[in-house]
Amino acid sequence: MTPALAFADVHRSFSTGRGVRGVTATLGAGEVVALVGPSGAGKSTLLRLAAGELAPEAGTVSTGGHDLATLRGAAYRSACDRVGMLTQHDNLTPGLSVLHNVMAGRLGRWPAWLALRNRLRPRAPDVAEVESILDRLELGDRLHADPRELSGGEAQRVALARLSYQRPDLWLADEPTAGLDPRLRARALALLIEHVRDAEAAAVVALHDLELLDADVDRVWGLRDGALVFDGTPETFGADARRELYEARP
Amino acid sequence: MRYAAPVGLALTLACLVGLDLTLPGLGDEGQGERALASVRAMLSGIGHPDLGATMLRRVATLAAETTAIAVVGTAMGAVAGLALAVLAASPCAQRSPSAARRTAAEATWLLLDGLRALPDFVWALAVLLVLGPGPITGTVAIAVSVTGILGRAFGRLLVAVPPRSVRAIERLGGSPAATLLYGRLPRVAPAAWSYGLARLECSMRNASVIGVVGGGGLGAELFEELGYGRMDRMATLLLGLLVLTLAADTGASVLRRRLSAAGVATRTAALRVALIVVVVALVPLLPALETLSVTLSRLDPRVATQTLSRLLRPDLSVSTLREAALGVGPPLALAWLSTLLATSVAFGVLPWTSSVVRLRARGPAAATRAAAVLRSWLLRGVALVARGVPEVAWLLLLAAAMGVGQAAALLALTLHGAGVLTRLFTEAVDDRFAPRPRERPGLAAGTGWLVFAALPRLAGTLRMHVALQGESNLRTAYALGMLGAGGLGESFYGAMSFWQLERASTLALTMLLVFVGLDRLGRGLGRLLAR
Repeated sequence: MTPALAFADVHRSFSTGRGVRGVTATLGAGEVVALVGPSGAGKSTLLRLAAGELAPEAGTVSTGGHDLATLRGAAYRSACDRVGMLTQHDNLTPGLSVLHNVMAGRLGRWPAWLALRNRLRPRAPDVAEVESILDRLELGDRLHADPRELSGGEAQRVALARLSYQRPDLWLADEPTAGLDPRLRARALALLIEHVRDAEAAAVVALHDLELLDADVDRVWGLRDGALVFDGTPETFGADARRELYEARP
Repeated sequence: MRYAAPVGLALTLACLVGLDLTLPGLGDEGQGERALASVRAMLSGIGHPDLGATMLRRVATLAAETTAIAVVGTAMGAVAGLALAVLAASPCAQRSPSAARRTAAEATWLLLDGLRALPDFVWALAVLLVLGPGPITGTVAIAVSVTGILGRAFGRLLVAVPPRSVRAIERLGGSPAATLLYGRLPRVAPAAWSYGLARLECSMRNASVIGVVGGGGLGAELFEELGYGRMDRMATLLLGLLVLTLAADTGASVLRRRLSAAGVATRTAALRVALIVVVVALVPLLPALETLSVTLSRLDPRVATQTLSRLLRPDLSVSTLREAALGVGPPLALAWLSTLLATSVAFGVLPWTSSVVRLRARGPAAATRAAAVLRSWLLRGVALVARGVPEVAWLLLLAAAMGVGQAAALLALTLHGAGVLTRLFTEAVDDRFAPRPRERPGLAAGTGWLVFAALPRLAGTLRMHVALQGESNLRTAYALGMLGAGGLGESFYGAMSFWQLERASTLALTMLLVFVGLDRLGRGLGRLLAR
């Protein structure tokens, strides 16, 4: 079976000296992994490589069997549709209603005429589907709101609704709870993983906060200075492993 | 920057020497008396407008036609401009745009510059060749000009959207068109609405005078009554024009403020209302559309092709090129001097028009404050009327006293420009420095505060307003030239009247090159100043 995501000796550096070095890892279909590590360890870079936004300098990244960075045109767009991404900010388009923001999740599957039609006068079945997703996320009454009117938590839930509507095979989340009130973080993360499980998709969730490791994940990837220094189950990610990952170097 | 003042002074002197600012209407004693008599007749007409039912009905019909020309023309221009803007901005919406796509985008930017470089008066004469005189000609001419102006503004907005902010939508794998619909367009919508409404306001003014060159609406009749000396009827038409432009001025300004703060639902509703308004506005144009279908059915395709091919073959003979080169001076000089004068007037009255200067001043006596309020409203009212009368109408009115010439054109451009800039400067200061609720009056207000504290912080905004007004003045100076103010406009009008299409083409191309050249020069200087 094709893995949802595979890194093979991937290198990518930046002028700041940060980046990733020789990462090799595989994520099976339906697997959920927490990506942890200190700031600047390369978590966002690894996710952007997986999403095809960055091309590796060496090695290969394969997402659902495709090397996204080498695809162009329709093939790239179709591969993008199978990958969903959630970031800390800028997930939603201000000036576009919540309904349309969620509907945008299907842009990769819709022909241009349908995108235009749904932008001007959304089809009833599509609206109903979006409504049911928003209802589940307790956002049913915000269908026509502008994202600028939403709280941080609500905006993140709308972005989650979009991913649920998109139904990608691989979900990538870059510190999705970082902007939220600390009391809401655990709940928001649980909700995200619940949706991933429902969709039977694979996911890489980059986390900054170690306390969130109580979340329902299958594996943990630990990144330090751009290198993958831990790959195991949450149970094996004990105090020693955490200390090694986060302790300041001499 | 070091050379800005001497260069500016030298330019101003050159303009003053180069322009013919004598008053053709006041050449000798007899002429002076005649001019005085015509001014008296005009003033008496304005004092006793024809308010008979027939005349009022006529004015209402023409006002409806003028509104229709402006609304339909602006709507057509906005749609076409948006389509071209999307094409021009398309390379930034793509992951790796092809060379062909980039070339197409560059060509589109050039086309937009070309369309906005020429005033609607020039486009009206070109459309007249095919469609003949009437409101449809005016509508098409305004649509062409608006396409260029709004297309470039929309394009710049689309290009300025930070790539990071639309990455989430791009990542979803939609086509570039879908990414535009769900990512870039909603982001630029508030600013685009604002530009669109501002342009509609200008179109209302332009539509009210485009009849002078055969574009229908109030302008044709205003010009005619003025020519026949029927001042009472001219006054009624002028009143109708003022009511129309002032309503557009205040209406558009209120709508702009409302929409810029509005949410998605309000903007969607506004779009629906706009569609209904455009459909309703088509009603006064229906008779003209019927006539148009007859004109088009009679149109000989061979003649049309021949006309077009002649327009596309500019006359490059030495005499025409010399005429074009010499014609550049007057519109440039008029635009420079009028912008300078209008800016000076707008700065000069700012301490009295700005309510912030008054509000921030440490409370003077109630009577003084009341006088200041009164003075402020009075000056704002004068500015409102000054910009409510389009430059072309000012020129026609002033011509009665001064004769048609460059002096009248300079005054017309200055009066209108001062009205526009007074409003823009006042709004800029009032919006930025409005005291917050419960804020105590500031320590230092008045003219000193304005000059040393407020204006330096607004320098960028004010410079942009002045530059845009200068651009508009150049376009209008071409149009005023067509009515007798000399330069390229006058030569172009002559060439078109004598069906010398190749010569007209050379002259129009020169107008375009001067406009685009100055625009590029201005942008270069702007970048230099920004460094």
